[in-house]
Amino acid sequence: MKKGSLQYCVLAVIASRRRYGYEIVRVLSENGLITYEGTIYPLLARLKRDGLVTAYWQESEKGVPRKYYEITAQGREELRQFKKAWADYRRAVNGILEGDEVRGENPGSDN
Amino acid sequence: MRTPDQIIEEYLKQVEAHLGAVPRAQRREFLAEVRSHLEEQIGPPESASSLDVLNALERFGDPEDVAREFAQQTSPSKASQGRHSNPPSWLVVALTVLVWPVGIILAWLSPAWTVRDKAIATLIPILALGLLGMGGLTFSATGPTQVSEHILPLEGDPPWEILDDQELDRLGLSQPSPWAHLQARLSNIFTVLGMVVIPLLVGSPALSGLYLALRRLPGY
Repeated sequence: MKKGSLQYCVLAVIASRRRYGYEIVRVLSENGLITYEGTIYPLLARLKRDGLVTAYWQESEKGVPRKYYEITAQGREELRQFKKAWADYRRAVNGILEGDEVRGENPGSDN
Repeated sequence: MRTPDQIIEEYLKQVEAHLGAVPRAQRREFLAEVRSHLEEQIGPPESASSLDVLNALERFGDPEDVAREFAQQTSPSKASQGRHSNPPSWLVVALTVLVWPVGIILAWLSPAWTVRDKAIATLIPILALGLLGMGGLTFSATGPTQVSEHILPLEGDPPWEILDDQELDRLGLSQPSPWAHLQARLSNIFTVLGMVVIPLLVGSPALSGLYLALRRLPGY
């Protein structure tokens, strides 16, 4: 589940605004989602290949060119579907986990 | 003690070495992206400490793993590759040697060779066939004259008078029998077959297969 959901986390990071590779790595790393930073770039390449993001280079003030990633309409749609599936999954798991403590008295109290 | 720049260069070289069949443009772009990330992390290499660089590379990951993952994620139809994996390269080489048309088509479809190498392997037998073709033209021009040497050129007007057998007998000339004609021609054919055609037909696909075997990309 972790490997599969990482790509959607990437999409979520760039859903509100474009970001360049290093930024994306920073955000995910701060949230403890990455072991090795280098693995994000192959993932970004795959998202681009599958049409979920677009990418382009831009000069930065520091002089180091940066590759920016933007989410596409298709990417937004897939992210939307994932969010729903993830919410359903989370609800189901929580239901079971809480049901373990409170034996069926308050099923699905979390939303 | 290596400079930070040297350390980075070495790392990038290691990554590149494991990128396999990734096309050159994509290769360059990926390495540029890696470099960009590292420079964002450590700042300008001139003022970075070697320790910072080594730490950054450690966090980035093993160069071989990163490269292989990238090569995997950027191969064209990854979904179909997962379901029908490509034929193993040794099989492609064997088919190239034994059933060249099948082998060479599989080679073109396989990611195990660069386009350039596929083109060279394809050209080897084609050039051989071209040589055969030229040899064939030469042969058809020279072959029959071996037989026609028996017939002396005759003076007269028009120069190419066609004589019937009676006239030839009268002149003391003999038309070589049709059988001798055929014999001479057959011996020419077998000579050419034995010395040129068969070695080229058998050898050039083998050469093509050998070339592919030597130029196989790492990881295939």
